[in-house]
Amino acid sequence: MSRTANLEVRLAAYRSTLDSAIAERSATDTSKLDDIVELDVEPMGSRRRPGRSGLLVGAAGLVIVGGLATVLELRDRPADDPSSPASSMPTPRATNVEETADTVTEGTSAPANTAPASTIAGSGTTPRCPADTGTVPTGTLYLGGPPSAQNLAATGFIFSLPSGPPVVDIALQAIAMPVLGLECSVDAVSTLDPDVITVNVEPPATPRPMKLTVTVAERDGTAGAVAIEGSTQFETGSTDLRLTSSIPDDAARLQVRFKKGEDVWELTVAPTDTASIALEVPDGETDRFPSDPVDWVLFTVLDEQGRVLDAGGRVTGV
Amino acid sequence: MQPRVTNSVMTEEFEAFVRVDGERLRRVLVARYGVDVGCDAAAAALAWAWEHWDRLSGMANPAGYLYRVGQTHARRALDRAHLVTFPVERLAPSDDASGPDANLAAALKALPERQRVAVLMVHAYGWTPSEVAQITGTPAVTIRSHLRRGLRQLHSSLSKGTQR
Repeated sequence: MSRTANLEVRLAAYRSTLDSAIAERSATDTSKLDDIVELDVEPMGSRRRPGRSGLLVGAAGLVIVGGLATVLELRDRPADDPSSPASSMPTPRATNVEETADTVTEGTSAPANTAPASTIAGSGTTPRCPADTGTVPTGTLYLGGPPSAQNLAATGFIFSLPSGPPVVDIALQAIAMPVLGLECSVDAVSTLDPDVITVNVEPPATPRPMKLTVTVAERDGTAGAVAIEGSTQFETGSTDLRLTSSIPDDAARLQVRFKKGEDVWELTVAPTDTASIALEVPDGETDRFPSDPVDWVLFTVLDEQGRVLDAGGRVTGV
Repeated sequence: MQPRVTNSVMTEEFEAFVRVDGERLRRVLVARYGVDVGCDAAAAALAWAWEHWDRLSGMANPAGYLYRVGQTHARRALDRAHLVTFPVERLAPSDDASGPDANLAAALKALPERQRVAVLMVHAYGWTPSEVAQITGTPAVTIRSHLRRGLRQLHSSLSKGTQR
């Protein structure tokens, strides 16, 4: 027996360890959306009715695209734009269908990303634009992987219509960011072929494992997310947000967004200072709706690279 | 970049390729760059493959070409301070008196990349040196040389670890 015979046996046995690690790592890989960002869409049972499943699929899709649109918007804001201070940012806006679709199809691009990066370049097919419109209503874009209805991350993402309560638009950046990451820029350009959109992601998307439960309900006849639950437990009051457990160890900062009247405000909080976060308009800003309650609140826990580790929030008054 | 409309034939060809060569590619890139960087590099290479399938499908050795694509991705990742990682060896219950043994993972990590590819692909995955040579674009004789030296160094490292 050679000197290394035992070592060879040991290496052969190591295969199963290695394969397990690969399988585990691949669970966050590009081909398995369910393991990348798992969406548990929980409809309000009493309101369920025939045909609801399609609606929920749509809601799941819009969750992703709502997030993507938010990423695009955030990236589009120049760093030296005085309207976008790091710690507070009034963002009165309503991301509607047309706005989001235009953002994608007309190629509103993100600023150049300075990170060393390769480009995953891809193109995908979408349904034909309706007559006399320049927007693509719904469909799936692929960023270089085999098509599937849930092909997210580096190999594609779902492109659908955002609608419903505005918390969807805001909250579900938590879906897109783990996939795309704040350091990624997304660049989508329409082509002469109305069926084709070209999309670039730089650098390639880095999927992260995260599970969020999105509760969907109807309001004013429209389905939308009313609550998002991650692993962090939280309580929301009329004037404050309390994180009661499970803030990830690698959390570097916490973003809190809330809507008051017609304005959306953003606060940045240290993860160590989360016992009770006052939902107040930041100093130096004007509360245009002092008598209005907080409509909804969303928190996202970010690591040092700006990737979302966890998220949660609720719409009130539904 | 030219936009492209996909079709089902292309999709089927690609998926068949991924089922067979995608897994081989992932393993060899993991052997070289560790689990995290290797898996990412394999995913990036397959994404590239999808985008350039027309070009790739006509090649004699598409997996070998994608290995190079994956290498480029992996090197960028390593430049960005991503780490080469290997899982701690799981011991058989009878050997488990002292708990998990991190020596093998550490010794593998310490090997030069090419030697590690040869050692893991041949002895963990049972590839022939010729199969390793084909996907890495390296002569088989060189693979055998890497294998001998890699095993020797691994044995030496583990022996030292045991003696400590």
